Amino acid sequence: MTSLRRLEIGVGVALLLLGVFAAWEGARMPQGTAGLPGPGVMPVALGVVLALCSVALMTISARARVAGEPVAIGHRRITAAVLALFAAGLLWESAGFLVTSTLFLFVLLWILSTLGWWRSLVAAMLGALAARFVFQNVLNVVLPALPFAY
Amino acid sequence: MYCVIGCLWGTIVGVLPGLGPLAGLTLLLPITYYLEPTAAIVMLAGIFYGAMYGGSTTSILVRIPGEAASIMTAIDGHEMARKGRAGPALVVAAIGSFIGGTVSVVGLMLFAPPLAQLMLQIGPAAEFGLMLLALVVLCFASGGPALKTFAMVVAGLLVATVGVDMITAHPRFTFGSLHLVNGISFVAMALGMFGVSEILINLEDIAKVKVIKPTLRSLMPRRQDLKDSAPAIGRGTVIGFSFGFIPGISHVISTFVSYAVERKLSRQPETFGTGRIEAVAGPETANNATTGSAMIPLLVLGIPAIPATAILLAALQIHGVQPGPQMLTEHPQMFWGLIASMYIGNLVLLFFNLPLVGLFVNLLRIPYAYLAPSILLVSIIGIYSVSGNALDILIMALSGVVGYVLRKAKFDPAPLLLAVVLGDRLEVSLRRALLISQGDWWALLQGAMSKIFLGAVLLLVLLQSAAWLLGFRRKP
Repeated sequence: MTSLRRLEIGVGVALLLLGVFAAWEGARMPQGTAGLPGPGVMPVALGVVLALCSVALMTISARARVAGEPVAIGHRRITAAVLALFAAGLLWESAGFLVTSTLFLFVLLWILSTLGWWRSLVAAMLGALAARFVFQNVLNVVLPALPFAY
Repeated sequence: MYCVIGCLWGTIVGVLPGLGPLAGLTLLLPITYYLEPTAAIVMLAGIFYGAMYGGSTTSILVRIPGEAASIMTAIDGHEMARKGRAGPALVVAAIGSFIGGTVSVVGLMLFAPPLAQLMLQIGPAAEFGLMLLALVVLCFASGGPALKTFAMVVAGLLVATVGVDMITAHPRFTFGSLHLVNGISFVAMALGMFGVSEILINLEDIAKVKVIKPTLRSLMPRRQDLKDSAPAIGRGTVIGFSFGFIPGISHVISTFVSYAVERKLSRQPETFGTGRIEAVAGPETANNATTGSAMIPLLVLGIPAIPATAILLAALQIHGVQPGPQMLTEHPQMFWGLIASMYIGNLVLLFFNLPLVGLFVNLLRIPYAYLAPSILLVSIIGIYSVSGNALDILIMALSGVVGYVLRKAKFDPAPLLLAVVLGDRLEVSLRRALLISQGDWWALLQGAMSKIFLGAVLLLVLLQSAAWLLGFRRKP
């Protein structure tokens, strides 16, 4: 649990870093001339504006008399879903569709539902097979094969 | 056929709590990749207005607005449902949606071709003015705090610079990755920011919802209901159609304006919020009337007025169609097919959805613990099917987290996404205009259209500044 003010300042810091990075990286690109701007002008200009804007946002948030409403962020279920998504992205091509989607569904069903681990596993396997049938066989989507299937 | 599938599918998505038209469109966009272009766009358009309609069902029966545009419907609609009058509320919402949607399609049909003819004559300088005007309106018309919206627009423009520079072919922020040469995948970003972040927010509370289930017999409204709602439907149509042109969250604003107008004109304004049928008819009609007029800037100018049309823009681009004034001459079958589908879609929604309301209500009983993993898996498969690259899954996941945090911090990610769409054209048109004029910045003010667009930008900035100085500022 955090306050809205702290979260706003956190987003402001992230935007500031993004702006500074864009301006710094853009400055290393060709700048062109005043009449014919090069590819680096837009990133530099936008980076500077974003940095200034984020400083203004942080200042206003920091000066606010009240901390704002409490904000619940990063619930256990959300953390699990985010990690599962990233893991799926990393495993997708190396482990293949069936393995990745079974693991993905299993983890989420186990954490989110009240099915228990073995029911979740069976449901995940069936779900992955059903998804493979619908997308690969019916909709002709090319899905990554199992790692040992050549 | 695709229109009917799209409408029904859109209604299902719209009915599911927490999944509005935007999430529905982004989640299903990759799947249409395998369809023929016209069929894909017709189906997506069906999903768009199907989901707009479906949102009203959830608002009335469960008081969970699928998206911000259904908030006003939820207030009096759910109160009517609690009093055993869910049927009339649903029927009036459906009739209002049908009338608003159909009138706005007629408007689209009448306005789009002459406007496209006019836009064919503009050069890069006027195009720059138009893009700038769209962004300025987006900043000022957005519902959120002005500074936050502005920050989102600038961040979006910055994201749009990723990839090879269109004028010099110099790579920008690609970090040597071939995958980023064409920029960050808009579909992956949209899917993450709207689809995934929506699911993450809903995961915070996956408690079972209480559903009020109407019977088929109770659907019939009384003569008085129809009499009371008819003027509200008329006003809602005009308000919704007029607001659809404004970039930002026009579909949301139109519902708020419609509700306010109905309350102002009512003889018993104090009874609003207790289940007044005009308060359902007006906003719901306005919401659907924006669907047609919001298509005009998209199809004629290539500018998405609302986030949902940005997804339609991405769909058109995936299928090799660049929306704009040329679309009418280069892809007439797609343009007129879309218009025809909107007529059919409105009829489908009116005649199919009411008898099927019981079925849709049962969807609300599926536990979110099962729905969320399934929707996320479909998103992963969908995004992979578009590019065939697993990096897009990671971009989608990252965008989902960014969208979740932004929404928690009360930043609206929609302006960011719209700026990503407009950013490329803004920069390219500016630099092309300067190239043609050999570096003469005054060339941006040559031509009547350029003057009109830039004059409007100046006027808006001055008006906003004056309002700010006079003390009408919004909280940042």
